[in-house]
Amino acid sequence: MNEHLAGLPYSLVYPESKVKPFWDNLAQNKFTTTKCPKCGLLWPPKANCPNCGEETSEWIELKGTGEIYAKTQVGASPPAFKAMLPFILVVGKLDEGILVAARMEKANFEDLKIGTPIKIEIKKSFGLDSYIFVPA
Amino acid sequence: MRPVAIVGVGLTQWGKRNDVSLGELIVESAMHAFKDTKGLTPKDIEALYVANAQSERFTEQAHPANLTAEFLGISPKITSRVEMACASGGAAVRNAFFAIASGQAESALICGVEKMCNVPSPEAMRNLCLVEDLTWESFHGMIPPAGFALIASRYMHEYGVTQEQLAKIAVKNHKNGSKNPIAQFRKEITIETVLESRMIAHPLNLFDCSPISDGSAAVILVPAKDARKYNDTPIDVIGSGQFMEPAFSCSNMQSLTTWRALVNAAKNAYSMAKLTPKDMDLAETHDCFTIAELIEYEDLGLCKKGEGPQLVDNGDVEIGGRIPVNPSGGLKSKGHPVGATGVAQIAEVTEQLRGECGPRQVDGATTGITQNLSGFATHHVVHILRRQN
Ligand SMILES: [Zn+2]
Repeated sequence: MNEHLAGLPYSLVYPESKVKPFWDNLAQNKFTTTKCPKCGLLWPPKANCPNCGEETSEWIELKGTGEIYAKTQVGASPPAFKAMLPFILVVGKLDEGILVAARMEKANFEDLKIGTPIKIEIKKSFGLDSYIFVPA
Repeated sequence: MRPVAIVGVGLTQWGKRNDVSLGELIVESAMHAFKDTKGLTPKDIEALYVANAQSERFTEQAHPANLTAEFLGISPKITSRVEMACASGGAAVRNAFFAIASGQAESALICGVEKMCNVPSPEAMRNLCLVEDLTWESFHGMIPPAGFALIASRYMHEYGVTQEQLAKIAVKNHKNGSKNPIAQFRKEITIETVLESRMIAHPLNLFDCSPISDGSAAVILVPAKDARKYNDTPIDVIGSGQFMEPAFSCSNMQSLTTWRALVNAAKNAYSMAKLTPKDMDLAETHDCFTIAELIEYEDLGLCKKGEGPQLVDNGDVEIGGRIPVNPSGGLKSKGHPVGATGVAQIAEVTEQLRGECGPRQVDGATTGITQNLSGFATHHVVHILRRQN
C-alpha cells in the first residue's frame, strides 16, 4: 500500500472541483446541493446538469431529514475503514426526494428498517468535512 | 453486418497462479483457444482485444494489449485493451463481434485476463473499491459487497427473499463448479456453510461473495461462413446487447431491484437473435454475489419479477432443471479474475452447446445466453449463442 495514502481511504483531492462550495458549506454546517434551473435538484452536486447540460449556479440547503431507503452493516473493508468495523451504511431518501449514501451512527443495525426516519449529521471523516446519517 | 461464429475457446486453471506472469497467463488461454481450432495460429489474427480491468493496480504492468502482441508474436490491424471493470470481457467480445461483422477483420482473438492475487487481499479489496464513485460512495465505506447488500435489502423489502434462498444459489454454483476442472473452488458446500460464514455486508456472508482470482480466458471469432474450416461444431453469435444507465453511484440507479441496464441489454440481444427467453437452454450469468444471480433470472426474462426465489426453491436453475444457470460454477465457484470473467462465460456456453462439458453438461443444449455486469449493476453486456446447423 502506498505510504501517502496511509491516513486516507483514497487519494481524494475533492476540493479541486467546481462543486468545492459543497465542502465549504459543510464547514459552515450546511448540507447543500446544486440545482439545475430547468431540471431541479441534483445529487451528487454537479456543475453541469447531467439531464440537460445547463450550468448550475444555485446552491440549495437541504433539510437533511428523510428515511432509510436501503441498508446494510459492513463487516469487511479496506484497511482505512478497519477501525470502524462493523459499520452501518445506508441509502437515505431525503424529504426533497434525492437518494444519498452514507454511514449511519448512533443506531443498532437490528433496530433499523426500510422507512426508519433518519437525518444528516455534519461530521468530519478522515479529517475532511463530511456527513453521516443518525436517527431522526 | 455479416454473421459471426466462435471457432476456438480456451481457459487456464483459475485460482492463485503465482507460477506465471501476466503475459504467460494470457498465452496459456490463447494457445488453448488456437489448439481448439482446426489449424488457426496466432499469425492469422487480424483483430485483438484484451479485456483487463486493473493490471496497473494488481501487477503494475500497463498496456496489456501490446504485451499480448509480443507474447503471441502478432501484429493485429485492429486492436484495443477493453476496460469496463468486471464487464471488460463481455464488452471486448462485443467489440470483436463488430470487427468481424463489419467485414474489417477475418479473424479476432479476445483475451481476458486478471492477475489479482499478487497483492495482499486488503489491497485487492481497495482496488475493487476504485470501481465505485470515490467521492460520493467509496469514501463513505461503500465496498462492492455493500452495494449489492443494499440492493438485497431493497429486494427483501419489495419482493421478499430469505438468506437461505440466497445461500441455495451459492450451494448450486459450488456443486456445478466441483465438476469444472479449471474452477478455483471445487468443493461442494451446504446452506449452513453459507449462513455460518462471516458477515461481509448484511445480508451477504463470505460464501455469498465471489472470490479474488488469477485467471485468463480466450475466444476466437471468424465470419460464420468460414467457421467450418476451423471447427467441426461452430457456435454462432446471434445476439449481442449492451446498455449503461446514466448512473455511476447506486443511489442514482433508476431502481435497485429491476436493473434497467440489464433489461435493455437483454432486450437488444433477444431482438437481434429474434428469440425470446423461452428459447434459452442455459445461462451463464454474473453471480458476483448471490443476490445478483437472483435478480438476473428476472431481468433476463427467465421468470417474472419477484419469482426468482421460487426458481431457486424449485430447482429450475440446477443442471437438469428448466433453465440451468451457471453450469460452470459461476463467478462464485469458478472464480472471478475480473477481465477474464465475461470471456469465460462465452467459452463455457460454447463448450456446452458443443456437448463437451462431461459431468456438468446441460443435455441437448443448442442455444445459450451470457450476461456480464460492472459497477453497481449499472452496465451490462448480454450475448446469445447458438450451435450452427
Ligand atoms: Zn437540467
